[in-house]
Formats: sequence, structure tokens, C-alpha cells
Amino acid sequence: MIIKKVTIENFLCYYGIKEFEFSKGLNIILGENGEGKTKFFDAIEWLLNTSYSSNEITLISQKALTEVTGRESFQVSVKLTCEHDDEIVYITRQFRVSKLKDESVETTKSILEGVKESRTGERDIVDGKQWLDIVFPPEIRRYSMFKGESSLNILKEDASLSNLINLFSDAKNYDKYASKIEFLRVEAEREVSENTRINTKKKAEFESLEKQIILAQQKKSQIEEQLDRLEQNTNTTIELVKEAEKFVVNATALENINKRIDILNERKQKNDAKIEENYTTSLLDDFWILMHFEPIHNEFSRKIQESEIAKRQLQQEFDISKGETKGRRILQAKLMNNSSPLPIGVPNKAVMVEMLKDEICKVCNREAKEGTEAYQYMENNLKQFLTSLEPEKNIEEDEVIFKNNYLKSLVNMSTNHDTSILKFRSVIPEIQDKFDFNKSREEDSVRFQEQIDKEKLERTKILGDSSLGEDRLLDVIKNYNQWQTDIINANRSKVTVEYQYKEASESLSSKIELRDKIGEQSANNYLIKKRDLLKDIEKIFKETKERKFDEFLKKLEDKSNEILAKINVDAFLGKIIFIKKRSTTNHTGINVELVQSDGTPFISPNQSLETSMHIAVLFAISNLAAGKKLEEYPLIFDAPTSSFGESKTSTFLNLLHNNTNQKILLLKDFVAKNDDNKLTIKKEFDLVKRNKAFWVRLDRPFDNGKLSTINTLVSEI
Amino acid sequence: MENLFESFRSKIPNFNADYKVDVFEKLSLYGGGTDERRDSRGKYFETGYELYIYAFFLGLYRNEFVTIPEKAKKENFRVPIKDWGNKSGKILRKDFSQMQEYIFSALIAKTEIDFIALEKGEIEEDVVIKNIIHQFECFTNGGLIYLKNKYEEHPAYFMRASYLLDLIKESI
Repeated sequence: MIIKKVTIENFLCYYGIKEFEFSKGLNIILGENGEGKTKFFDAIEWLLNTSYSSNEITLISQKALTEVTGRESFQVSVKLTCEHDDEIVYITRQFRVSKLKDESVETTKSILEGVKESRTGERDIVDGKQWLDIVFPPEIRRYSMFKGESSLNILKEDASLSNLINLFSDAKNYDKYASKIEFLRVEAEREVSENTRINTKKKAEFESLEKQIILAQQKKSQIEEQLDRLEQNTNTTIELVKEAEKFVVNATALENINKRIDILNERKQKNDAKIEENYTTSLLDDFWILMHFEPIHNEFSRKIQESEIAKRQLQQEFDISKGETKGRRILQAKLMNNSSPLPIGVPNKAVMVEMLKDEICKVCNREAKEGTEAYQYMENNLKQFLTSLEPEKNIEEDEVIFKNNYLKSLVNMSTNHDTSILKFRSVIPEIQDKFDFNKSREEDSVRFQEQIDKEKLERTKILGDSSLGEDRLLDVIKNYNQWQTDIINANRSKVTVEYQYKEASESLSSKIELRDKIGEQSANNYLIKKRDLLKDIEKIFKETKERKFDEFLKKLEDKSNEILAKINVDAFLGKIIFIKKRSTTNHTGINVELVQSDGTPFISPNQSLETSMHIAVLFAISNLAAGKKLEEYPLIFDAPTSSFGESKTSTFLNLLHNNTNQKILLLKDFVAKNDDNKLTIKKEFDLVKRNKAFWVRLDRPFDNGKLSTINTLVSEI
Repeated sequence: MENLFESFRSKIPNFNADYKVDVFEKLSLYGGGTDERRDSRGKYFETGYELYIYAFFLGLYRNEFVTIPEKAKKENFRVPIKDWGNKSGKILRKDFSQMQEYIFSALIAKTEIDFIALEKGEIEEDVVIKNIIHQFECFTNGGLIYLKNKYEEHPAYFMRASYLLDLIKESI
């Protein structure tokens, strides 16, 4: 099929009737962005995509709508004039537009019309949809229309490949017989089986084997399904890994920076946590409030001491004046040479015992050997203390001068507080230390913050260089690592499941063999031979289909590489390989990969290289179709080489020219602005070999803000 | 054995109820303050008696001895001194029993007490304790008045972490 002409009428930016008359071979439509290239592509898509119900109002040329006056109506249409089997077929999709009184717009539903013109010039109206499918079959269209570079990877979906096989490989010829032969083989097996059951004495064993075979078949199918799922998941993950590898260099750098930021934040937090400014709590809990307490303590101590001395003097005077003191009191008074005695129990019991043991008076730091006066004094003092702990039985009530002894506990408190003097004095230095420590931590905190800010600046630069945002970039690295692990785990599982599959297959085969052996011993010889013959035929069919499939892939691969070499002249070449996915089941798929000359995968090919690879595969498919002498179909590409430079595009176009299939390419290359700021076609385009070329550009002047001034002009160049 | 400290600890001192709103609720959680209010309004003490102790020392060091007017309404925490700090439940906070001893010793130092008469039994313990508690209330009252004035002059100063510490540092 050849597209002879495309006629566009009042469709989007195409106001009035615009025609493109194409020829065989290479047709190029040049145009700047926004001047009508993609709208041309959209027009063809709208015509071909009959199942898609469009919103007609959005397709009308606004200029046409403005120009029409009164209650006139006009037509919006796209018409394809094709040559098919030496006949001309016109397919038109069109609708009518009417402007109503209130300036509102009404459209009819779009319809598809067909006209067939025979060699003799006779024209017949035909079913548009039916004839569109005849001249341009839907399954072919998916390999004919490509919008942008990303649409070129047609083998991404498994369904595409089986579609291709159906279209171009001999393997499809075997499919239609395969099911018939399988049916015949099953029937033959049933006949053998029934015959065996009637005749054999080993009926029970035969039937048991049949049941086992059913179970074994079920088990094999289950493992097969499991293997399928595993395979599909792994392939999906591999695709994701490939996609992620485009970003993973930056992602790793980002991850490293984020780790450094985390560490710095953590250090800063730990540092900040050391800054304790709860000074008010320390006033009470750490006794900082006692910073000025020493004079008050001294006042308290002096007061208690003075009262205690006064009390003891009074006691002594009382004791002497009464003259009826106990022996220990007289002794004490005499020994004290009329001075006030120390309170009983000072020094305390433990100290006294220690001094007696060491024979030293540790109060005056002198020797006090046993038997000496000093030793006896200490010994008496200890006895007095021990006696004081016993109730005084012989002293009568009226002999007591002091009824109470409040001072004793106050003396103890004062003595205890004496040891706190150091604490009172150390408060001020302690506060100063705390202030110094906090100040130092605050300085550290500022330094940490400076480092964090520096790292963040670096991170901003990385994010600026990446087309992904931070969250997505982090997701990539997170998932990338996880996916790598998933692939390793899936491959491990695959080995195990494949082994199970092999075992299940062998077990099934051996059971079938055993059953058949029993059958052969008893069943009708003719039936057995018939069954075996059908088994053999089925096997041959399956193997041949597989071989044809492999041959097709090999041809496709060779042809793709041949084309790739031509597209990528003087550039990195690599090699396209078709890797067959698992073939244990009927669901066969392929991965298309680019490898280096040593066979190692080419990681992250750039867009231009990927596009070259996909185009090479596409043309290879197209070539194979031509080789099969099948009907040729046009290929229509919108901006397929946007990642190519102009020079590479020229090489590419010249290569396309060598191929006689009809191709329509929409390109923005070769259009430039001259000194007057007017659009012009570059001289370089003269060197590009082509069969036809057009230039689409907007009719100037126009108002950017008004669609009603937009009209694309078409000129042949 | 007779022990004035134990008697002192069992008492509940009062404060001038006027300062409940003017000082306690501004500088402590006493009176139902929340953490949020504490942060935003510079409340520094978790309990009323902590502020009471603080005010006492402030009054003591600054020698601000002011008797609570007779007609003034009095209020207290309904908790004896011995239980101050003991029931805070805050693991990180320390026990206040030693602090109670220092307060007591300061009050003994500042209170006129005839110990000989006390020992002889010529004056009652209750009288002495009442006198001591009166001293406690007066120094605290002096401290509270000082705080109230400071707050009214510069409330923002109280937002500074070290301000209450600074007031103590400067008090002599």
C-alpha cells in the first residue's frame, strides 16, 4: 500500500484545503516547532483511529470558524488517497460544522467514507472502515506510526513480538496445524487407552498410572506457571534497573552527601544536647543557690557554738555549786582545770577506739602509750561516752538544770554543715565552668551548621544537574539496590524451580512411557502405531516451529545490525542482540539489548544510540516484510531523531533513501532563520537524498494569542 | 531527743495570696500553668514551693525582711516542708531534704532564740518554731516583692535562661 495523497481540510491549524502528494520512497516534511508537523501526524491518526470517538469541536480550524459568516456550514476532513493492488482507494473521515445564530457551534458526528476506483476509472462507494482495514490493517498500523523517539521501542511488549511472528515468520504457518495434530494425538491416546482397559489383565495398574499422569501433568503446569511468573517479575525488574542506571551516578553522589549531612546533623544534635541551660533547676538541685551561704552558715554555727558553751558553763557551775556531782562529773571538772569540757562523745566512739588502738592522740597528734596518763584520759573519755548512753538512774528530777536538749541536734547539724563549706565556695567556679562549656558547645554548633550548609549547597548543585527531583532520585538509589538484590534472589529461585520443572517433566515422561508399555503389550497394534505416528508428527511440528522462530530472530538480528552499522557511521556501534526469554512454556518473549564488541552489555546507552537501535530493528522488520514479498506499508515518523545531530540525521536520511519502502518523516531539522529573522530552509538540505519534500509553516503575520489567525501553509520543496 | 528541725519540717508556711497571680503563676506551673504557657511566658519553676525556696534565699541574701500585712489574705501549698521535693516524681530532680536543713540553719541564724531558756524549758518549743516560720515567711515575702517588681519592670528579662541565676548572683 502506498499513500498517494493526504488532504486535510479545516483541521486544526490547516485552514482550507491542504494537500500533500507523496511518492514511493522517502518523503520528508520539514517544519519548525509549532508550525503544523505534529498536527499533520494527528490528522492521520484521527483518520486511522476509527475506534476512538473524538470530540469534534476541538478539531475545527479556528480560522475557518472565524471566517464563516451567517448560518453557513463547512466541512472538516482528512482524506487518504491510497494505492492498493493497483486500485485507488479514497478513505475520508469528515464531519460538518455549523455556526448558529447565537454564535454557538454545532457539529455532526464524524463519519468514515470509502471510495474505490478501479483500473478502468470506475468509482464505487465502499464501506470506509472495512476498506481502511483492508488497505492498512490495524495490526500493521502499530508498526507504521511513530510519534517521538520513545515510541520506537516496539519490542518492549511481549505481545508485539508474537504479533510480528504472526505477520512475518514462517513459524505462524505451523500454528494452525499444531492444535489439530494435538487433538488427533489425544484422540489416538484415548483409543489406545480404552482398548487397553478392555483387554489387559493389568487394568488396575494401567488406570493407576493414568491417574498419576494426570497429577504429574498438573504439577508440571503449576511449576510452569511459577516459572512464568518468576520470569516476568525478573524481566520487569531488569527493565527498571536499566531505567535507573541512567540516574544512578548522581543518585550515588546524592546518597553520599545525604549520609554526610545525616552524620553532621547527628553530631550537631549530640553537641546541642550537651548545652544545658537549665540554670534555674541547678539553683536548687545542684545547690547553686548556696553560693552566698557561707557567712550565714558561719552565723548559724557561731550561734549554736556560743549557746552550747554557755549551756555547758551553766551546767558546770551548777554541778560544782551543788557539790553532789557524780564521780565522773567531778573527775571531768577537775581534769578540765575549770575550763568548759568538750561535749561527751567528741571525738566520737569510732575515733576514740582507733586512737586507743594506735596509742596516739590524733586530736593533739601526740603519743599516748598504754599506761600513760594520756592513754588513761582517752580511755576514761570513751567510758564516759558509753556510760552516757545508759539512763541516769540515780539523779533525781530536781537536780537537773536543763530539761531539754535541743542544742545537741543543732550541734550535729552545724558540724555536718562545716563540711559543706567547700561546696558553698565551689558554686561560683562551677557556674563559670558551666557557662564556658556551654559557650564552647555553642561555637561547635555554629561550626557544624556551617559544614551542613556547605553540604546542602553541594546537594543543590547535584539536584540541579539531574532531571529528577530529590525524592525521586533517592527513590532510585533505594530501589536500585533493592532491585539488584531482587534479581539475584529471583535467579536463585529460578535455578531451583527449573530443576523442579525438569524433575516433573522427567517423572511425567517416565509414567507415560510405563503406561504406554503396558498399553503396547495389550492394545491393538494398529492403534498404537497410529498414536506413535501422531506423536512424532506433533513433535516435528513443535520443533520446526521453534526452529523457524529462531531463524526469524537470527535474520531480524542480522538485519538490525546491518542497518545499525549504516546509521551509526563513525560512531560507537555496538551490536544488537536478541535474547530469547525462557522457552520452557509457550509464552516466548525476547529482550533486545545493545552489547559491546566483547559481548558485555552496554550500560546506559544514550538516547541517540537507543533510537538508532530501535530504528534499526524497525527497518529490519520492514525489510523482512519486503523479503517475504508481502504487501508493503508506509512508515510515518514524527520527530524520530530529535536526539540526533543534523549531520547524523543527514546520514540517516540518505540511508532511508536507499530503502524503497514508503516513508513519511516529519522533522524540525534544516529549518533556520535568516538575517531578516525569516524562516528559511538550509542549504545542507539540498544534499539530502529524498523523493519528495514539503515545508509546513504558519502564514505570517499571525497573532500568537489568537488561534483564529493561525493557518499552516504547505509548499513542496 | 528534742529536735527543732523535725518540728520545723512538719509546718506549712504561708505566703501573701496577692503574689499567687503576680509571681507564682508567672514564674512557675503553680496555679495550673501548662508547658506551653511555661515556655511562652518564662515560667522557670515546676512547683510553687521551688519558687518559695528561691524567693526565700533572694530575700535572705538581699536582707529583704518584710512581714506579710496582717490583713493580707494568706495562702499555702497545703504540703509540709518535709514533703517539698520528695514527691516530685521527676527522676532527674534531686531530693530537697538537705536543702530544708540549709533553710532551717539560716533561719536559726537569723532568728532571736534564747536557747538556754529553751533548754531549761522556760519557753515552749512551739513559740520558737512559730518565730522561725515567721522569719521564713518574711524573708520569702521580701523575695516575692522583689521578684514582682522586677517582673513588672522588665518581664522579657525573665525569658533569659540565666536571669533568675543572675538575680541570685547579684544579690550580695
